[in-house]
Amino acid sequence: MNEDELKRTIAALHADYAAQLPGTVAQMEDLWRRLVAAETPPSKLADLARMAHSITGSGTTFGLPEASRAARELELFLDAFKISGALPGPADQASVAALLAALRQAVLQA
Amino acid sequence: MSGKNHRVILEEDVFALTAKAQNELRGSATSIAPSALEVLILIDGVSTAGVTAERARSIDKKTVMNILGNLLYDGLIDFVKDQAGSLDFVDFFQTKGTVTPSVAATAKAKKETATTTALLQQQGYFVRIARRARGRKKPEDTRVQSVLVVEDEPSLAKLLKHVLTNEGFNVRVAQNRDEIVAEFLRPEPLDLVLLDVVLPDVDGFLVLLKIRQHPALKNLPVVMLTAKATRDAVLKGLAGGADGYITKPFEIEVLIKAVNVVLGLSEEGQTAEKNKDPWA
Repeated sequence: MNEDELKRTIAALHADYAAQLPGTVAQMEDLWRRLVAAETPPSKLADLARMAHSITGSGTTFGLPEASRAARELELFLDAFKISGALPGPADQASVAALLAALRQAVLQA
Repeated sequence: MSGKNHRVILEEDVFALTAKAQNELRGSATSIAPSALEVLILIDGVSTAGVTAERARSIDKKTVMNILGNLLYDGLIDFVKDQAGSLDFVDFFQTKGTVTPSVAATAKAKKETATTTALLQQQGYFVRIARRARGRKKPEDTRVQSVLVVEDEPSLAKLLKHVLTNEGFNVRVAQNRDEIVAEFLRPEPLDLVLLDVVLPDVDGFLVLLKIRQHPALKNLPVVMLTAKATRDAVLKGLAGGADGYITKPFEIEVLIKAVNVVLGLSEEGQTAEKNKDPWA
C-alpha cells in the first residue's frame, strides 16, 4: 500500500467512525435511561464509563477532538460512581444527563 | 510398551496424548485403571504436569506424577516436542494478580514518569515513552515482525492494522481475553504487543502482569496504548514491565516511532531496514 492509498484508507476509516459515533452515543443515552429507570443493574454504569472511555481515546485520533473532550468529562464524572457501585443521586444524575447531552452535541457538530 | 525408560516427571513437562491413547479413549472398553484414566483425560498438550496435578482433584500430586510416568512408559502420552513454545494458557487469566514490581523497576518508572511531567502539563494527557530495545535487529534477520494489537474499539483496531501493515509489520488483532489467549497460542511468534488497558472483560494491566509472569512470554516487548493517562496509570504500566506507554489520542508518527524504538529497529522502521544498502 503506497502513501496515497494509506491516506485514502485512513480517510475512509475517519468517515466510518464519524458515521457510527451518533449511534454509539444513542446507545449510551439508552443505557443511561435504563439505568435511571432501574431496568438494568447499577453495575452497568461501568459499561457506560467504558463507552465514554473508548470515545475519549479514539475521537481525536479520528479528527473529532471535541467528542474526545466531552467523553473524557463524562468518563471522569462516572469514574467516582463506578468505584462505589451505586447509581448517582438525583443531582448527579442531572449532571450525567447534561454531560451526555454535551457529548451528543459535540458529535453532531463534528 | 513404548520402550521408554521410566523417568522422573518434572512439573514443567508438557504432554500430549499419543494415537494409542486416543484409540483407547475412543474404544467402548478400556484396560486403563480409573486413576490413570482420570489423569489421561486431563492431558491437553499445553498444560504442564504441575497444572495437570492441580486439576486432578481426587488424586494427590505425587501420585499424579507417578501416573504420568507410567502413562509415558506405556506409550499413552508423549512429550510435546517444542516445550519452549508450549504455553499453559488454560490458567492464563484464572488467578487474579496485582502488579508488584521490584524496587528498581519502580524507581526507574518513577524517573521516566517524572521526566514526562512537563510534557503532560504542556500537552494535557499526551504521554509517549519508549524504552529502547537492548539489541538491534540483526541485518540477516529478514523475518517480517509480528505485532499483536489488543484493542476493543473496532475503528481504532482497523486503523492500527492498516498503518502498521503499511510499515511492513504482520499485524494480528485481539479484542478480548479469549482472542488474546488464542493469539498467544498460535505457533507464529509475536515480536510486540500493543496493549489497551480498558477492555470489555479483562484489565490490560493484568494482561501485562500475566505476560511478564509467563516463562515463554516474559521478554515479549509490550507497549501500552491507552487513554488511561494519569501519572499513576503510567507508573503502573512502566513499573509492571511495559516497554512503552503511549496515551490516546495518539499521533500515528509517534506510535510508529515508539514501535520501532522498542523493537530495536531504526526509527524509519522495518521497511527502511529492508531497503537499506547492506554494504553502506
